[in-house]
Amino acid sequence: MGRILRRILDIREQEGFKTLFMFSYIFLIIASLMIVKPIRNSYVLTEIGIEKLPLMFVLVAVSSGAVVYLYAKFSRKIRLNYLIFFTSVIFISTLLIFWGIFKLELSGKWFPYVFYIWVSLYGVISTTQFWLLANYVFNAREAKRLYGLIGAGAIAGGIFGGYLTNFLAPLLTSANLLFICVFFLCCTIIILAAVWRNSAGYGYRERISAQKRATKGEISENPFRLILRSSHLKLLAWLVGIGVVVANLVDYQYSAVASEIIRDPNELTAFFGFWLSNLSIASLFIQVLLTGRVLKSMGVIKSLFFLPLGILVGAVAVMANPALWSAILIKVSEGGFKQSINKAGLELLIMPIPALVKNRAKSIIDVFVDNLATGIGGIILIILISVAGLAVKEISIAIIILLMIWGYLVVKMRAEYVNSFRKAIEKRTINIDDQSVNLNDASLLESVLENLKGDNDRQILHILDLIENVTDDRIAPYLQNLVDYPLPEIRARALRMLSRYEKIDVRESAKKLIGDNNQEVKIEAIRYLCVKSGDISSALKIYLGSENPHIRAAAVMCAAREIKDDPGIASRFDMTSTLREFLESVKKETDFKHFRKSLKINIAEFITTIESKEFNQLINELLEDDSIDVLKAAIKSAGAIKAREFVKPLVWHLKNSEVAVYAREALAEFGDDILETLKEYFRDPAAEMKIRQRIPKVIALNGSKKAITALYEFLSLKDYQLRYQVIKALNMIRINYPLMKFNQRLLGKVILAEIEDYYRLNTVLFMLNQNAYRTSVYFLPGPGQLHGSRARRLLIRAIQEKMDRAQEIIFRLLGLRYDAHDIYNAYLGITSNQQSLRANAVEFIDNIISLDLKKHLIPMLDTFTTGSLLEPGEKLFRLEVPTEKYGISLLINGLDNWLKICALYFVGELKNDAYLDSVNELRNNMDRVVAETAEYAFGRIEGKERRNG
Amino acid sequence: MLTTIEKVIFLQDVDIFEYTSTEDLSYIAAITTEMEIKKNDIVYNEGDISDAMYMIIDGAVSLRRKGAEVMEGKVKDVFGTWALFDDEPRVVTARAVEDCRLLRILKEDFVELLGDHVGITQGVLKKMVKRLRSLVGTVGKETDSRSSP
Repeated sequence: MGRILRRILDIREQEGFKTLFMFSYIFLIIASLMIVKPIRNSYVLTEIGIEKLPLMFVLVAVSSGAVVYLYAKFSRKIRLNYLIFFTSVIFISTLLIFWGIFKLELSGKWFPYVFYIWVSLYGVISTTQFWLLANYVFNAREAKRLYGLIGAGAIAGGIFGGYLTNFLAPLLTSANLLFICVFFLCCTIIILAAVWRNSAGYGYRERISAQKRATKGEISENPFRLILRSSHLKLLAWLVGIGVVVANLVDYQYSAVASEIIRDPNELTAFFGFWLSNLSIASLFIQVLLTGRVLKSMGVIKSLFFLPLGILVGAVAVMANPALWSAILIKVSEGGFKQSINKAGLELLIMPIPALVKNRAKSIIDVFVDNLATGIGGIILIILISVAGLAVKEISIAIIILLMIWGYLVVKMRAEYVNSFRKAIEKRTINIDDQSVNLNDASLLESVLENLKGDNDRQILHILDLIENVTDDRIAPYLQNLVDYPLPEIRARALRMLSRYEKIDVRESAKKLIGDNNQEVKIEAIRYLCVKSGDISSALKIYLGSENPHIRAAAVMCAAREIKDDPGIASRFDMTSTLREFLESVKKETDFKHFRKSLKINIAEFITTIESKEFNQLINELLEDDSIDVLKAAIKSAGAIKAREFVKPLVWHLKNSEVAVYAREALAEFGDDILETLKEYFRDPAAEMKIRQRIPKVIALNGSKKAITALYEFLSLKDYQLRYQVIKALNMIRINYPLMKFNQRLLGKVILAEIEDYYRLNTVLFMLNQNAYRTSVYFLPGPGQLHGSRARRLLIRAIQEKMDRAQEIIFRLLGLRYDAHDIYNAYLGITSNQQSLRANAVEFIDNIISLDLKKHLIPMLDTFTTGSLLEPGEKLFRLEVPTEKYGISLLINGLDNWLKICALYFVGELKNDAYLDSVNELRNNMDRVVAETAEYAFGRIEGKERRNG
Repeated sequence: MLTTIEKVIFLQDVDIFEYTSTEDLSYIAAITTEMEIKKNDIVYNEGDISDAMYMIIDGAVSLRRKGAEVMEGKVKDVFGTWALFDDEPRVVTARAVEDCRLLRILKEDFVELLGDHVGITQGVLKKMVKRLRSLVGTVGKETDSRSSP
């Protein structure tokens, strides 16, 4: 049962509990809100009267502006789960205090105001907190799938809460209903703890840092100025604002009529609760049954007229007869359309605005404009009632005037909207992923399609991207024109899209296009004809039997793609024998080695699609092909088939820069199954260095626990080049799989070892610099020059470079322990030439790393001369400045080949026979350059000896 | 014949490799070829395909465009550098004015090396950006001085 439900609702494994929790959470929050809202409305109306309602609107606007600002400021400093917990406790406590005040009848004149404002704030804060939590619980992909379902929880909560209030208010009295809210809120605290423990808590810090980084890239311009500069955004703000003002006026009329007719406070609470639920149901029905259709058939702009027209009908009714039915009519018209068609329309209106501008402008419109308009609505009502002395039904006149302004704004918005969209298409600032909804808009679709008539290849391809998943008969004629377009890519895509349309038939053109020079067009033409034939399998067989090998090849590819799109075809079609027969027929004409390149690629792609192991031999042959394009396709096939026999050639291809990325991806497809084999290659000193260096990245692509363990094993490797690649691979896992755990203890040890190496190199560097001063045989350096002979200078430079690299490695390792992006930014600061950036970075590191690491690392970052680092080196690692002989021997006998080479060269230049034995040993070193330099040094020392002798 | 490390010492002074680490220079050294050119021999002609850059170890090379000498390269000078980065034909003729020893880096080998060693690519790009910045600075100063009364 659970499995079926999960499939219907598209809930994947391990998402079930958190979805259920979050659904319940919002259900309880909205249900509690639907309980307190009717209580508030009835209480305030019966206690202080309808005439004070406008003042309430103003007070709510002012106080929520202030509270939301303070809340936003405070929320940045505290962990989200604590924040929600504390605010929930505060809400529960205040609800209990309110209950006490109601019960003990302690309420003074101030209380209705406080209660009214409190409920408004509760609504804003509790729902905001919920969505903040949801953003941490679900990643972007999950959110796309599950937010609809979670939103349904809110609607269900609204319906439930309202009806519950309607049912219980007369039985328990309004005050006692607050206890139900307390109960609901207590449940949300338990849910919060469960959700946080199970999902949201992991990677919280990383996500916070990621958000900070994301906002760093945003434009720094004042968002108000952004709105003022864009006529589109200005109009949008006006539309939102006028909607809120009218909503206030409507709310006033509705509340005034209801409180006039229903005198009993508990009955009034029940009435408000009942109609709040009904409103939720009305919104739900309009949303499900009307919104999509209206947007599709009438477009965004016309859809924006529904709300004002609905309110107009209600306003006229209230003006004619201010009874309960007319009050309900105006409220249902306003509430029903506002949360459905109008909301969807407004969301779509902002789509053409570039994302960075949109994000900032939207928050201003949603919060600031909404609040401001609420306040203005209150002031207008005060003027209308207290100054102009209008009766409730006469408020309709003001509403009608505002509706006329509203209508004018919508008309003005039309031109602006289409214009903005046109600009967005030209600048390609529209996100294709967002477009499926947008292109259902009738007016927009037409203006977009106009671009298909042009001759701008880039723009046409972009439009085709946008409408790829839209099936609309209005598109078909435009696509038909593109079948003869000069660019083959456009011809092919037009054919592909046209196969979805019944009304337009381009079979004659498709038949001609089978003879097209472009293989892709050929494939799509065959595909089109097969789809239109009604029996894809039979039609394909005809083309597969064609005498023309190019058509046969295209048919094979077409068959492969069809199976990929519709696996059902595979059951009617034996793809393996199709390929076998095809290969045999082509082989009659030429042997496989001499197949055309494109044909080989097609065959490889075909095998990738059918994932048949029967053609492994063929793939092996293709893996030895001379053409890079064929190799790439064959490597992809090998990765898709995942036969062990491909591992060796794939590893071999890692050394080829042109296909290394493909080989890496293909090997990663094998997952942990080949981890041991990869480890063997990595350890094998006989294997090519290029291959060994590229293996850690392959392992990292898996991102599994086993991969991390494997890479950890190599952290103790002495070979610096290989260890560097291992650390880079671990960094890659850290970035791509932020929830993966790393063994911190071992990491600490490795970092300390790297720091010690840094200090050790520093002592050698210091010695070399000092000796350069002392030795008179070396020329005096100029400003900024290194001291000593060319060999000494080279060695000094090489050591400095190694120290820089060691520093990079230390930061990479820190990135595995702390937030990777923070550490990276700090590293950029440390390596910067700007003193202030460097100081800030050191300060930052000083604040985040552990005490032990701090002790070792900070002196290293905080000093500028080799000399000043000697003392901490001695204190922390007992490192003393070596003698020249000892220092150079350290390098010659060390594991870093490049330092070894530079030291050998230096020794050769010194002609010092004290190193002769060490040098002699290295003359047969496996590394060609080490051996060559040792030979050179040996010759120099020997020559000197001979001269001496 | 120069050893690899001697080539590295030589390459350290090549402008375009100023920001390339010594270890990365050893990889570049590995793809260089030492060649000897007799006096008056042509290294390449104007209009030839650009396929390599050269460094003068010994001797001197005259670079001429349409017969006029553009410069004379001496020991440690480099010529034909841009061959490594674009496909435009040679704009000068390079002729040995003395017996020469040259180090040659073939474009094909260099591009392959760049693919394998990110550090070299970074070093070369850094140098190019520095050049571009100084060029922009120079143009900016000239524009300022022209626009000032």
